[in-house]
Amino acid sequence: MVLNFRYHAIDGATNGLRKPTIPVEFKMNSGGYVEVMCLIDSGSDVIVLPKGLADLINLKIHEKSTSNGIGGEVPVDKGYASFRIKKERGYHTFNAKVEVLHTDDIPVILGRQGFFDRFKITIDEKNKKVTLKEHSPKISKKINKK
Amino acid sequence: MEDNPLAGKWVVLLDEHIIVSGDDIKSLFEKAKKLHPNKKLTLAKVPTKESMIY
Repeated sequence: MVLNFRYHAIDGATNGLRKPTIPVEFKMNSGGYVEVMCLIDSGSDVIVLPKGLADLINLKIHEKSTSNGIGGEVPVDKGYASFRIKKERGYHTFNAKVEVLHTDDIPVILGRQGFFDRFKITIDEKNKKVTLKEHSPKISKKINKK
Repeated sequence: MEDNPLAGKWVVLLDEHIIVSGDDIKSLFEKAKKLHPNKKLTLAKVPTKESMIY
């Protein structure tokens, strides 16, 4: 299954600026899903959420820790979130480890562990397109077992 | 110099149109949900002109 996305623009807000973002639905522990435009970032080891989104979905925190970025060491909360991405028919659903930064001043970042290991990803910067190709069900099962 | 007042803000979209904007994701989404309880809403962060490095 191949999923194609165009870089997302927001009417009246982005002034032509577009980034490789895709819509992902996060499961809320209170029920239902919330859709968020998420940035695809191969430079990030993990999936990163802003605190407000973690609060909104009522994410259960398993561990408090720290992570390192270009800005230095920052405190993070770690947990597991459930996601889904709309396909032509139905959804691609998965669970993954996430790290929560204590700020809302970041987008949701889809990093390598938990996201890049599920898809073969092509970012076509020139044409402002993102393509996700699902790995075979066998590989996806192995990743889900991790 | 950033000339877009929405740059860096979170927005909630309904059918690709902004219905609320702000800095606090949770209160923003809850406000939007009150306005449109049965609609599918999308959260998005408006990009800024500045390079983004984490």
